[in-house]
Amino acid sequence: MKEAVLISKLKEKDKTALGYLYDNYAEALYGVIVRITNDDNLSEEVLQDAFMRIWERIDHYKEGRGTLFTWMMALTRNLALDRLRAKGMKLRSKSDSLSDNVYQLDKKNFTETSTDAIGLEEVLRNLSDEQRFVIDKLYFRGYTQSEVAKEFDIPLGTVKTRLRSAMIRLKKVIIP
Amino acid sequence: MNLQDWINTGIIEAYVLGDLTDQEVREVEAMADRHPEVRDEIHSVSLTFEELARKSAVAPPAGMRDRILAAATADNTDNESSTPVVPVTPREDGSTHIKRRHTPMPWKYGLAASVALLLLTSVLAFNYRSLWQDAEERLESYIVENQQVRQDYQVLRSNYQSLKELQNIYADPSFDRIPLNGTDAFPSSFATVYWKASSREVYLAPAGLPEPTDGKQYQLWAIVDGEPKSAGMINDLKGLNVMQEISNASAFAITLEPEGGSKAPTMEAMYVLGEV
Repeated sequence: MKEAVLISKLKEKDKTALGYLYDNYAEALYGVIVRITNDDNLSEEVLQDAFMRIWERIDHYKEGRGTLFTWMMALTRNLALDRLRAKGMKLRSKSDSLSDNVYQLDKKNFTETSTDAIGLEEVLRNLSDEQRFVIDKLYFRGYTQSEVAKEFDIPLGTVKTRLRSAMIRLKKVIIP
Repeated sequence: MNLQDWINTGIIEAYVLGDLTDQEVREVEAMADRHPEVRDEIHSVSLTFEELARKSAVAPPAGMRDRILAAATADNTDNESSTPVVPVTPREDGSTHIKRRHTPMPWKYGLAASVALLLLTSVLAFNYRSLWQDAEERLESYIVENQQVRQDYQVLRSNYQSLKELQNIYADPSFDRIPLNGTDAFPSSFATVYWKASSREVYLAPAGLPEPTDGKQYQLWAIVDGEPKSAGMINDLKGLNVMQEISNASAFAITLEPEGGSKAPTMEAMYVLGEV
């Protein structure tokens, strides 16, 4: 289904469109949630709420401002972060590094959607340790740039530079 | 700031991840309206994050799909305020039709009002969260700045006080100024003692002594009746030290002693000496 068609069907409250949305995006969104909350029950709750909110607020999606997925992802991340704060839980901290956590998660649950595509581990191997650290905190763990700067005592400017260089690298690897 | 610098601040990544305040979101969208480069960047950052998410996908537990679709159905009927409990034979059955029309309106208004209120409060809560985060960050940096200013102020204040004391001593003709000159072993050292014999007050400005090595401290001695008498330890190498009261001194000297001082001066470690 084309994204534009999907969106207009969602706006019409077409239930099959919601099923399609789930089939195509739920795993990617769930991966985002699990890495932020690190809690199965909370993750399920957040996923359900996220889909309900997407369903109710699809009219708020502005085309041409990122993709439908990133709109859903931003909404989902904020939901996960809000829920985490409401429960008084903290963001997953420094002790569990990307290598022994995100990868483990993959080995346990990772569903190979496309076998010929290069995997996460391989993509992240293109980054320097410093770049990987910033991507880990900002993208996978849900930190904001200033939270990373504050908590890990890195100047904010350095966080921004490393993020940008990491993104440029990732873009080259990911987008052909 | 040129466009590339602006993009390099990482604001687009934060925009795509939903980490910006409403005001910042408007800024990014205004930039996107004006600059195709910004639109392209938003698009490629979005694709990058989307691919990253696809590569790190995790399957939700079985049953989630059904639960979500069922919840969406329930949600829908709520919004349209139909009552699924009543068997629906709407058009043919006139009575059902009439009954439904007679559904008391206040209930509908109440539901609509509470949904509106809920939406409003969640929007407000979201806005306040961003505002609160901003405010907290700013507060944090003000606190750090304030501490720094306070420290600087303390240093300036104590410098100022030593200067003022020194000025008072200079202006007081009853203070003797006794220059202490470097000994043969430490010719480049110097210090100055200000001594008021009548009140026995002793001040010391040790500005010309090298930093002591670890575990060592300078000690001032007065020679009284031919015997060295401790006049106290020197704590402030840059400022003015108030020393112990001394009478009948014929000379002053400074030695380097173990921290806390010695009973008798270590003669080999005598840095400066001056006769009254």
